[in-house]
Amino acid sequence: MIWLRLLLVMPAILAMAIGGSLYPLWFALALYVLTSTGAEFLKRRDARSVIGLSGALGAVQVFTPLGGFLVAGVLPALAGFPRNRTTLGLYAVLLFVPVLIATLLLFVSSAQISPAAMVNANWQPSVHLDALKIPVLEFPVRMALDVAVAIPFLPLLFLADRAQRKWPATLGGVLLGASLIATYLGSVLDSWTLFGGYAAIIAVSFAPPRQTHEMTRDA
Amino acid sequence: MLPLQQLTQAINRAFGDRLTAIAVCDLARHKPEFSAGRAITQRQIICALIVMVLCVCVFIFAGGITHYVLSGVLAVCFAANAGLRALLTWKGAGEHSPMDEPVCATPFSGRELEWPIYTIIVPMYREANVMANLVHAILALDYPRNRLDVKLVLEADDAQTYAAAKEYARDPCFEIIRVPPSQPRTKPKAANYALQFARGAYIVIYDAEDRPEPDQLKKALAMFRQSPDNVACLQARLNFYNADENWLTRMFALDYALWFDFLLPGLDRLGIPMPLGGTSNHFRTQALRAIHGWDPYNVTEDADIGIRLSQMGFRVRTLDSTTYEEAVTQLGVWLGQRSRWMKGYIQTWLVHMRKPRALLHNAGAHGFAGFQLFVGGTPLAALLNPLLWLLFCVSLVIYGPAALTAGGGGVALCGLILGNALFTYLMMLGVLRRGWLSLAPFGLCAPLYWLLISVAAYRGVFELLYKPWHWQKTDHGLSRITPPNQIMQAGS
Repeated sequence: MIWLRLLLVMPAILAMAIGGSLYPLWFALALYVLTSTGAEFLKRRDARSVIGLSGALGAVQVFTPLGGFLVAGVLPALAGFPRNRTTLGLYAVLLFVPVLIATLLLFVSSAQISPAAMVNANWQPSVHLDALKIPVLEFPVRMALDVAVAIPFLPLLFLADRAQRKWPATLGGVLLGASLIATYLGSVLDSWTLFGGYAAIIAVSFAPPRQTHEMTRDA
Repeated sequence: MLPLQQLTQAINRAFGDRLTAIAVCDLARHKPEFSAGRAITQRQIICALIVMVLCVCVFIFAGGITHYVLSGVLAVCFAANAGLRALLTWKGAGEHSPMDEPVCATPFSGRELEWPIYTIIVPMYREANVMANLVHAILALDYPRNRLDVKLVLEADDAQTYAAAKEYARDPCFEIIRVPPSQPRTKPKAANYALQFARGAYIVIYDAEDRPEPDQLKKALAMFRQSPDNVACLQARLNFYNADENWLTRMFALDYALWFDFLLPGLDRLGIPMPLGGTSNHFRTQALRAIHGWDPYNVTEDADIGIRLSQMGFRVRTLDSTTYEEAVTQLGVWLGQRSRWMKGYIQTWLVHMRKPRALLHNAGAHGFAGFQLFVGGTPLAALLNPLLWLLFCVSLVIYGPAALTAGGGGVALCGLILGNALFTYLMMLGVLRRGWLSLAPFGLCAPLYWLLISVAAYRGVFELLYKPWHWQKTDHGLSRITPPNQIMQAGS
């Protein structure tokens, strides 16, 4: 099943790879882990996990709408396409926050409101509403860093697929946090793009996995 | 020997007036500060006047910023209530939620005499049409039949329900109690009347259309035995067997799921005084008598008794068992029921804020704050919601599109978005524990549902002023969906 899942994120990887950089590949993989882990949490239908995941998807929207769009699109595919009102309801719960945030961002953008200016004039979030502009890798050093991060990251893909326990996701969070710092040292601007995915996976990793105890009735 | 039913009737005939006087006046006589017999005290009227004068002063002297101040205050109050609900949902959804505590449903051996007598009080009025289902649901309870003491509490002038009770409730565990006519004609007064006949060490109150899970009494009993003595009451979860009947029942089911599956367990975990739901409240009889029963003048006697138990040193906890009810299917009936609830919440807030320092002392700072935001905040948020919409619309008219970013309209809009978005999201989340995910998309209609609640809240305020103790009867038996004969056990 994991290969099928990888296959499903291929369009995302290809689309980003057109930018001529290995960086989007890792970005897509990060999103993959998010969605893969998220799908596991979704299966549990535990409220805290769903809130965490939903909030994480919202964070992705703030920093990288394209990433958020991809996750929102891919996640249902990973957890099973909506087949009936029950799975449709699950996605409604999950996607409410990201869609709301995306709508707010669109509104803020169209109304020419700068939340950054309200908070701090020096703070410049990278809210790319023209998200299809793919960031191009400029520093070979950063490419090397990304690859270095990806090596321990690969087994995590498989572990995340079986994320019945908390530790693989937590490990993923720590590794990705470290890569965030590394990437930040390489390029400040692009780190914002990656930060969405990282923040999301970290948030998800802290949501405790748990078996639901009661799903006996469906209205 | 005289059969129990005949003995009850004889006592009723001989001492009806005296028993009625106790049912109506016991709380007011012993704890007048907790009685809603007086809707509002003189001191509270003075405080309200001071607040109104301050508001007028701000309006006169603050000039141009009045709009900001007004919008800001309203938006903060609205968002604070939504914020508390978010916190309670998070706490209620915790890994070790009170609802998840394992309860052994077989605390005693098989010998029936070891089981304590359990009194079931069912106040009814003009509900002959649901009598057969009620009797069936009670007889389906997994509890030794000869240890049940079921009181069907009917108004003396309700001949139809009496006839139905005579026809269906033939098992010796049933006892019909006819309450002599007196004011106020409320459910808590009827319950107080029946309380005087209760033989059980434990009492539960059900509504006529209730379908408790069969092992509920055993679970409650086990949890009482596991809990300290000061745990006086257990609130079972409530939800509907006709949840998917129409838009209103779906919204109502979402509302209830959030309330009973997340918010009340959240209150339990945070130690905030818990307003009970109207049915499936299990009490230790001794504690219930110690607090002088229900307040006959409070139209949400359930909410009041939960707070009063906390004020008098007892604890209320939540029970992992569900009672299924019939959701109101018609808008008019729903509005009547909801306006009574809103009126009762305001009554309850007024009663327990007569002595705020005592409440602060008894409930602690967090309990006090939680009471303000939850019991006071629920009707307040419903009242503020349309005001915020109005302020926003007025700003749009005055400032045009600039109202979105300037003027009080922006503040009102922020409050509206934050509050309504949170309410919507929480209602959608409410179904997770039960797995009723097919209802979740209807949560997107929450802003519309909230406007209906606002209509009910304004109607409740109006009723509080003109007929504070009027009990708006909710008609049952109107659903097209027949109740299931046997509610599935959770986890089965």
